[in-house]
Amino acid sequence: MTMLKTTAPRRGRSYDPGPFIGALPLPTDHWVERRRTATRALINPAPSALHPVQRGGSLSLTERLFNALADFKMKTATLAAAHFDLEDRARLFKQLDSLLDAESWDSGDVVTTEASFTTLLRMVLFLRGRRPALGVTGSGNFIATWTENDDRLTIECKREDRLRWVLVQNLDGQRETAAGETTIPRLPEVLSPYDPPRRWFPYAVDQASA
Amino acid sequence: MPSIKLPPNHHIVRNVPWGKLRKDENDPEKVIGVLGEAFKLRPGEEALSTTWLEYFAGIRQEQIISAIHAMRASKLEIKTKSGFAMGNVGNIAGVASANTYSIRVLHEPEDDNKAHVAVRRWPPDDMVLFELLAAEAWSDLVLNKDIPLGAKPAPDQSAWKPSAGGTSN
Amino acid sequence: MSALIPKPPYPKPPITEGVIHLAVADSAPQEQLEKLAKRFIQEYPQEEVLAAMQFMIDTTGGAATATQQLEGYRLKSADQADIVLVFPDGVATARLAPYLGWEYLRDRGRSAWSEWRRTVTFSALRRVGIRYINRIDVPIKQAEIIDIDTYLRFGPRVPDFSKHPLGGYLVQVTRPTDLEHWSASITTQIAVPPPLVNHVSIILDIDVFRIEQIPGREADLWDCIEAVRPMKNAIFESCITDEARKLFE
Repeated sequence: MTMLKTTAPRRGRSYDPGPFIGALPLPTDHWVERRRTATRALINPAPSALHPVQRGGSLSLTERLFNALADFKMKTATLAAAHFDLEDRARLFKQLDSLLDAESWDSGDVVTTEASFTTLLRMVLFLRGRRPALGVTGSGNFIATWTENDDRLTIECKREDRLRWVLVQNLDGQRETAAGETTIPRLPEVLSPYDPPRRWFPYAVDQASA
Repeated sequence: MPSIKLPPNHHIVRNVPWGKLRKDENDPEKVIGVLGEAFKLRPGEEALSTTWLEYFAGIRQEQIISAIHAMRASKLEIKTKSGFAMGNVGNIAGVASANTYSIRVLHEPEDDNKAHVAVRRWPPDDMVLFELLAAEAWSDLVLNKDIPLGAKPAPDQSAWKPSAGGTSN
Repeated sequence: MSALIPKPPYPKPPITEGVIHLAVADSAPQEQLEKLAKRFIQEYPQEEVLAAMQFMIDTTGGAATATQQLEGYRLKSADQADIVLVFPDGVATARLAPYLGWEYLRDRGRSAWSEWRRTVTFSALRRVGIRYINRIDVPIKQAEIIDIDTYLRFGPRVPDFSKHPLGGYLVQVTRPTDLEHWSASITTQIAVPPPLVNHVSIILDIDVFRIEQIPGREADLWDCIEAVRPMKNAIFESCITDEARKLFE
């Protein structure tokens, strides 16, 4: 039984329920998003969700890289949560610090985007297994790479879970290549015919085969 | 003056930024190769920019140093942690041909780099080709930090002269 | 399947954010807030200004003006996982994942409050809050229906007017606890879109707060905060099932 304590109306005044759910527009008013926003007002935004004031004017490359790095680290905390331990996090941050160092950054490249980073992080958490090395494209996407002797898997992480992958492997002295575009949930199934991915992230590949 | 087509036994060098070098999974500072992304054209580019190794005199190591010094002296932005990928012209053309591309590797001197070579008819976005090149035909790598300090423009004339038969375009 | 149910402290606690918030009765002047923000810079080197835009339209003349009002500062550690928020009426200390334990958060909260006391003109505390936002990630195979009650003892009670499953929900309750002067606000909802691939994520947000009889002495204040911790943990444990606990391994 859920007991609810109610407040009686004061003498001489009509009862005012205050700004509460009854005041919300109906979904048929196609203001569903306003309803969601209003109900979210019941919840205090978490400190990590508060947004700073947007600075006017253009930022230097160093500032843009710095901001991107900060955003990626924040994203790691909020998205990966308990699935990344301190070691995983330190490892990833070391990779990011190295890659987004202003001294080494090719100024002709678009600064890597949060959308690409989100895809990268979701993919890494999904695949489990060996963590990749990282690179960047000129157009602002992260590249995840796995290498073992002559076997190389390279995956470009695009927005919204989309991936472009290329596999180059050596099979009994013969070069074999495969490539394609897919999404994160499909990746293990798409890679399952090939040996290196099976060795590198067996959990994901076996789950796909199950 | 017509462009000179590079002989197939010659080599070209391309600067590879830090972000496009292939790294060790356990050590982000350890370079183990080149990413295919290093061979992708930027928007608006019509040809892949490289530098001709045999344009410079001397033994192979001297040629490498001269080529890199020339690239440093050019307008190209060479960052400390970048690398230089070297490949044999014939091998590069062979891999491209096996993937249906008939490329042209042409000496096209520029004001800031007389040893400049343009690789034309280059596909804008064939990641299988680029990864194959990165794995094999264009995989010899030298890191910028391993080349002695210095920048010196390429001489006006190539140290290599075509034979009487010629390989001009 | 393992018969062992993990017990706290969990190997992988589902905490995405832990917050200690102390609010005072009066608003501090801007120069004191600026000074306070500077005191945090060494430990929290990344500073962001929080501001709200105010638009005013003169309906007679038609002129519109926009002004920014300072709402505080958000300061973050280099790795972005530790945050201090400086508001005109108080300070909040937050720790994001990975959670490093209560003592870590408490000590940072205490340190932040000391800095506030040193820098801002005294004003009595009007609210003390300890808030934990948990995210319970339930693995699923492709599109699947899950029974929220399998993981949560606190959720929506939905009238039986349709055979279709819920597309989403949000439930919030506020209730005094058995610990004198302390109340708890518990919110649960589904994270949309889900942060992880092939998972459904259930948010469980527990805010334990006090707005009366707040101790004025520093030592008493922190003893009081320490005393509420077992109760806050008990609230969390009472909201989840053993199936949820298995996910924290």
